[in-house]
Amino acid sequence: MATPSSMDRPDLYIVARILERLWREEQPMLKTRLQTATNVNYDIFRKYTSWMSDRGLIAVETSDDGHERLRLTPKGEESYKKLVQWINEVIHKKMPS
Amino acid sequence: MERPNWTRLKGEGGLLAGWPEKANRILIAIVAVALLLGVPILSMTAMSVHVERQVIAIDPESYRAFRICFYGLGEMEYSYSASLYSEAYVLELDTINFYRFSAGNSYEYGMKENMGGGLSSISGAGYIGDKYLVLVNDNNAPLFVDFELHARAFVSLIPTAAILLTAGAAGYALGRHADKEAQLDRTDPVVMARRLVRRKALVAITVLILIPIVMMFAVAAAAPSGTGFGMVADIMGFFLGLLIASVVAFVLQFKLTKEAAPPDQILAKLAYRLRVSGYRVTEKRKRLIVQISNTSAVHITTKKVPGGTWVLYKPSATPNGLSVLIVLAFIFITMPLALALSLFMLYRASAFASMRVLPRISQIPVPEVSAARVETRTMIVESLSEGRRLSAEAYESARSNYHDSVIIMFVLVTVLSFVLGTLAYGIMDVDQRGKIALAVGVFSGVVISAVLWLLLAAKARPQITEFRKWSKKLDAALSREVAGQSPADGEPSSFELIVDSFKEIPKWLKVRRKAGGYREPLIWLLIFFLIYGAIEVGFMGLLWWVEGRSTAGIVAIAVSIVLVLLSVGSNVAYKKRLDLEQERTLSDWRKRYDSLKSEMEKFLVGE
Repeated sequence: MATPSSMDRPDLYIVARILERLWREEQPMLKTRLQTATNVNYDIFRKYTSWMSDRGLIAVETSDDGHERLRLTPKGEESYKKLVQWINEVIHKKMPS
Repeated sequence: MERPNWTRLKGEGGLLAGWPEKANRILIAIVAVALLLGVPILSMTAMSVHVERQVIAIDPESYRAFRICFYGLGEMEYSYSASLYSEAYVLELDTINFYRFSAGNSYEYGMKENMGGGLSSISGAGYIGDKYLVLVNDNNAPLFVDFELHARAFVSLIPTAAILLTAGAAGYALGRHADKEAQLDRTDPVVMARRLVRRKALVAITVLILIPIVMMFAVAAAAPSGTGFGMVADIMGFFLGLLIASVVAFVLQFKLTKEAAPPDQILAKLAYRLRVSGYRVTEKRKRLIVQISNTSAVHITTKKVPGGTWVLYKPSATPNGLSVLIVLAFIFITMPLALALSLFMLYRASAFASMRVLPRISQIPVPEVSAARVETRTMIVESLSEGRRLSAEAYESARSNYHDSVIIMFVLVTVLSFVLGTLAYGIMDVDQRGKIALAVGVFSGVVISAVLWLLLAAKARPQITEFRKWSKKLDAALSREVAGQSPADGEPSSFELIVDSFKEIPKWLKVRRKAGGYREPLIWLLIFFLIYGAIEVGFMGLLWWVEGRSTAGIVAIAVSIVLVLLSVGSNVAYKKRLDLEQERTLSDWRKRYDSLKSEMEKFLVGE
């Protein structure tokens, strides 16, 4: 099984799903809550969150109660915006910039 | 999170205070029923003229006139027998010529017959406008005429106009009542601006209604006597007026409001707000085209002036609406309905502009979060809205294709059942073979139609259902996005939905391509008129041929063949152009999708 850091072709849908879910939340999300909301298998979820964290798209925070929470970084927010912008431009018949 | 209070979708009810959309549809249904039932009944009762057989005495050098005012289809028959043989005649005159006659001026007549001799009968049917039947006595002695007249109207424009005006007045009164019930704030500038917009539209509608009437009298009065044109001048003027008023209704542009913001900003924000409210908005050359029903649309433009920007609106028809209008105008006798529909579209456009557009122009979204977040949400909404528009159009096209197939099937089955019935009549040699042949025709027609209909429905239903599901799915996602809500756990994200819908686009485009008539009604109508012309001229040619006018017959049949070839050629060229267009679009789409996917993946991995 490939380790998270060796992923060279991540599934765009899963990355976008995680980014979008975190983008919608005002507060950091519990890992288990995010996994349920995005409907991704736990192993894959771990792999992707680790990969995204390595690239600075999301950040892991440990709260006082000891639970790990995930939040979107400014870079992650910008990346999600870029993805949305691309698809929006293509749908409106413009080539991606 | 941006949560504007004007984001409820169309059809949720209580959208804005005042006149609900549903009421319009109910009113139209009531008017349609009133027209279908009321026009023939009123025409046959109130408009018909009956003079039972009687002897009428006419003074020397005098006349007696009977007016038959139908402005519609009807029949007329009268008989007369006069006591004198000379200087006694009957005239058929139109209104203008009747006034000329009664004033002692020169006039033109539609018919003039001497009344002397035995009992004469005259009858005719067709379009009857405003006609005067005049019994004239130019003798120095009294004239006694044994006279009887029966004129029956079947479909008259006068009760039609009365019903439409009553419905219009009732609709206006109900609208006013609804506004009062809604307890509108009369100190609110938007409410007051709305009233002004509606008032301007009502003035325009009133003027447009008067155009045919004014044209009728103007053309009739201006028609030179002695040319033969005078007899039909009033009708020609009236119908010309109807045509002009119908066209002008779509040329008029009305001011909506003046804003301080620049034109591009106003249109961009308005497009966004209308989209999030569930309307289909297309941006085209600095104008917004908003579809408000299957037949009506409204164009919104701007005009830069010192001190701000004027927002203007103009009524427009969708391809479907345009087709209906052209067909109504083409049938000629239904031209009044074309004007009624045009005026209704104008009224709808003004109601939409005042009730839906105006409040959305002045509302400025107040971003409660970072501008970047608002921008992202705006883009998601725009993408979902565009996907919803395309899927809804694909759904409508698929339904339209299915309905076209059903109509063609019915026509073919009708011809087939007629042939089968005729064959049965020819083959059988039994009693009551006519009834048996009729039964064969009807039975075969019903059974074959039912079977083919089921097959067509079974073939079309899965695709229609799929497109409807897509449209609903995107509609729900759009509503959710506008309300700032997240998808339920486990549901696909908006981004996934947009990408998935993007993958469906080739299928949607293909269905739209099949519904060519729906997309480009003018081409469809050109082909329709060519075929119609070919059939008309062909029949005329055959008739002339049978009558022995072989040269004229051959020319007409040759013209008919040329028209058929032109229609087939136009159709083939049109389909080829659509195929090429589709090929180009799909190839472009594939390139864009591949490029997008690779850019996205590169971007993510590169991060």
